[in-house]
Amino acid sequence: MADLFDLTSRLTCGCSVSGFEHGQQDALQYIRDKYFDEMRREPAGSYVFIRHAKKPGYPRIMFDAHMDEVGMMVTEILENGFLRFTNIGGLDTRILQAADVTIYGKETLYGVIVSTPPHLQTGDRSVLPKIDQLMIDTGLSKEKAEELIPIGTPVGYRFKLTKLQNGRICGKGFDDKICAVAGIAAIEQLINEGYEGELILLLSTKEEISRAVVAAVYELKPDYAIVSDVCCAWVPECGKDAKRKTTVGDGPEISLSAITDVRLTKRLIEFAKKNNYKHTVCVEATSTGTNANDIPLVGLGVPTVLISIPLKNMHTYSEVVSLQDVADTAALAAGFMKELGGDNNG
Amino acid sequence: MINDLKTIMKIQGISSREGKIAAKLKEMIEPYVDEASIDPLGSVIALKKGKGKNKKKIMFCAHMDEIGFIVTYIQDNGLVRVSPVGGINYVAAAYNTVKFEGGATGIIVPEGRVEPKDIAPDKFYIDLGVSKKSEAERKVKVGEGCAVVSDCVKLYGKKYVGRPFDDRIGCYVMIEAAKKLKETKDDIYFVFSVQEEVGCRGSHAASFTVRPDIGIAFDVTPSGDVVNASTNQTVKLGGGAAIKVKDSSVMCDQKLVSSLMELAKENKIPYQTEVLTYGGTDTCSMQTVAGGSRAGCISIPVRFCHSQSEMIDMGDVEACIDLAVAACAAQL
Amino acid sequence: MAKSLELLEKLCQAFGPTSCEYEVADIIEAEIKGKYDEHITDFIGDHIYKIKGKTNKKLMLSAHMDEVGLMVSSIDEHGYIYFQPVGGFDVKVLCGRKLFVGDYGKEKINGLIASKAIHQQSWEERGKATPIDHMYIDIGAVSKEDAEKYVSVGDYAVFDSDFVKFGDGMIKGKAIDDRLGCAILCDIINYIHENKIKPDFDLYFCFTVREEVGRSGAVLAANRIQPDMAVVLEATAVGDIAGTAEQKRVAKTGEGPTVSVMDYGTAYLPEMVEFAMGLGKKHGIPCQLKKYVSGGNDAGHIHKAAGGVKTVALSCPTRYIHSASCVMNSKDYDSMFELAKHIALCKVDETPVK
Repeated sequence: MADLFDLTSRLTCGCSVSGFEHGQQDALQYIRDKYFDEMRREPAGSYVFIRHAKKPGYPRIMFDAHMDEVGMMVTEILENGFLRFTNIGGLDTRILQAADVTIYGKETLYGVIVSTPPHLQTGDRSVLPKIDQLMIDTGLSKEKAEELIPIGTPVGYRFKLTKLQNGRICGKGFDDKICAVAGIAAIEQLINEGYEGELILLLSTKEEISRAVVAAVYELKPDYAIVSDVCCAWVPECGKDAKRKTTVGDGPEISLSAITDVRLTKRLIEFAKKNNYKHTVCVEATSTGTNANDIPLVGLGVPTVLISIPLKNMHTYSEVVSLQDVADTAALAAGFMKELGGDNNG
Repeated sequence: MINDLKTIMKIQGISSREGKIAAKLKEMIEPYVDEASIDPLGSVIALKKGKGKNKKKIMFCAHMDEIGFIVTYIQDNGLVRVSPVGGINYVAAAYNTVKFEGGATGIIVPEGRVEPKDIAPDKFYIDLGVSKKSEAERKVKVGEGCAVVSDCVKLYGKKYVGRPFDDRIGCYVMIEAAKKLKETKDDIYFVFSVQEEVGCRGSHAASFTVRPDIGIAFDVTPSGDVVNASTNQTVKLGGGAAIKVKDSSVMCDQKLVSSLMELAKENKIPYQTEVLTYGGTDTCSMQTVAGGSRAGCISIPVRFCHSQSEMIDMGDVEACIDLAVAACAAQL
Repeated sequence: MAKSLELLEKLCQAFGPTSCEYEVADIIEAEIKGKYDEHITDFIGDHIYKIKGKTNKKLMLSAHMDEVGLMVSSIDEHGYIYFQPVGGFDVKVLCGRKLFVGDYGKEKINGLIASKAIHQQSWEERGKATPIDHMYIDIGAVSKEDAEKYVSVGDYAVFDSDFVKFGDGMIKGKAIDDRLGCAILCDIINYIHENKIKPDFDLYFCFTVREEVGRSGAVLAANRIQPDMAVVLEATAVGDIAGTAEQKRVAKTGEGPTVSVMDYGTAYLPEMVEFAMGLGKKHGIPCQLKKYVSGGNDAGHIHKAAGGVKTVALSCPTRYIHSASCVMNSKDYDSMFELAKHIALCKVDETPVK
């Protein structure tokens, strides 16, 4: 079994703010060398990893996880090296003030988002400032900041990966690199089991802000797509009566939706039940909020299923997942990919 | 030079009704390209063939459509109800003169007692000065388009005001760039797209036809140097060509963005960085349609976008033209 | 005519919410068996029937098979069934409705949408529509285990609503949006077959899926066919009811199909609008412009596909659309059939794609 913690660390340590996923080159090269025959960057920015078929007759199976994460972008340099910024993707403004960030300028710099001291606050103190009222403190002079930080520089949460109890881990960028980790683990398992069909890992770009995934899928023309993304885990504020109660530790969540592929999803659920794979099922009737919304309608169409890993505190620097859930997701994905591989192979 | 710009600004072409402006743009670009045609949705696709080996396809794209209104209903009293085509700023639109495709003229006005906070498309109507449905029907018909009219006027220095600079100014940049281009290594496609204002639909179709390797849009961007602008808007009128990093529809290709900035520096072309927190343009179609392309955008700063008094600085326009020409010669 | 309404009734009564259109597809396949040159299907469930023409120009005629419905999302310990809407509903038409619950190839059972009685509502709740996530389906089950004998998570529900002819030529039924379009396409195929006509265009009759959720199978059909021209047959919501301001009535039932000028998905090319209206005038077929900008349909996907497709949308004016009781005028069925038929049989050089 792949070292999930190590892979997570490799994939989440660098810059991968949407549109600026280049900070992961080392990790990408590592994955390519260890598991695949080929790696390429698609024009729109997604990375494609291909393990060629050892024998003809297998369907093309693609595992998609997006490699970008939410972040910020510098819009203006102010006096004393403070930075104005805007959000890239949906940020939770509750967690921004006094947070550590990494500024990916001409040099990689440390910064901290300002928080107004209590004695300077007026009015209703429970009201959160809007993003364009916040600033990043670089500790630099204005001149130095202007030199090192061009407008348009991406800013991400500062990387820190910690272990909690019971195999839970806490860090940034798990949305959606933790699913990439599951996909890589699944592919490693298939390789170890001697699976001979073609395997494609798509680490797609810009999911948090656009639908750039479609360009890569158009060229790849897979026969099946397994999309993996994170889903919001149940937490106490959701209430006891919440209808969706999947939480961290419950294993992968299979999403039934009228816009992915109901038949293929039902087949996946049957497969999971029959072979005792840990899983839960949820219904997201008309939108999954993931790449699985767009992939089914690319080109002449791609049968698609969505498998999600429960995640707490989404879009923060303290996202929490269970490595057991990641392992269970990998096992389910590997099993199902093998099952699909048998489709046109007698 | 400025007369060419005035010519293309005078021809009306609201989204999906671009026939006349398309014909004019095709006629203007034809002397400088090898072939030009009009696609099923009405976009002009012109090609200047490259002479190099292993040539790439570079697609330049500016939209020719403008915002306006479409007639939905003619009332018994001759008043005309319209629906917006594209993002109308109704505060700016109120009490302006509008011109119809068929030539009729009217004014667009809000219903009585409509406070600014109650402004909504169905609270507006067009008064043709007639009093009966039959009279109105002789002048306009349901489904006909109309747009606010405004003259192009020179202000101080190189500043001009009028409409629709969005995005005839982009079309103008492409035509002027085509005029200046000598032999190129790569195939350069000049696409004058339709229906950008209603969701980048023309460039969606055209990108499928062209399948570019590299896509560059030429469109306007709101200038942040107006009173009480959002703190996040730093593009300035007169600050040079604005090289887009992002807007809410797209993250531009990073390598392309830095190549364009390098090019501007090398050629001493004034430029500025554009980070837009809203809006969208044809770049997103070029980036994602079919197999996708490495796409970016060179923006022309404009104040008071989508009003009858859009303002530009010809210095910025010249910078955009120079950057477009330089881009054709460069290894992007 | 009488025969057509029989087919329409059969199609409307079929169980076919989004991504579960198989029953509708089966009825269509049985109806037009052997009357086409080629039958293409895709994984998503679109059915394309091709009739070869004299030229190589391709005309796509499209109607969607799916109807708005509900999807079972969870079952509670009392056997009550919670659901998510599949398609756009006005919550005010849901409470108290009778339903069929089930899936393709599964027995459909009766149910109804319930919520607490007026007596149990607080003063704040009274007079307000019940939010959709407070409603549930009651099938008479007494426990979770009991309910699960009949219903599984992922099953669908559609309105239980019969097909009624009433008033002066009016029809009421569920799913008129867009089984009506499907019925008209079948009628055109039958007409071409019975009269042994060789059309000018290659005709692609597309029965598509998933329109009601906006991520439509028409995209795949258009990508596959890459048509030169397309006609979308639809139903459109109209407000020709008493008390509505004249400029907001959209269209009038009984005055023929509407030709759309603009909606939220498409700004139709003027030459296509003129073509359709002109054809109606030439053949004396009642038709009207859609005098309001609202809604959207498969044209939004088709016209942008494959480098751009000249597209026109004909819609049947329908009151109370997306409810259990859609109401239309049977005369509009005939007019829409005639107009669509004339477009299908047009000479290529009489159309905007010449």
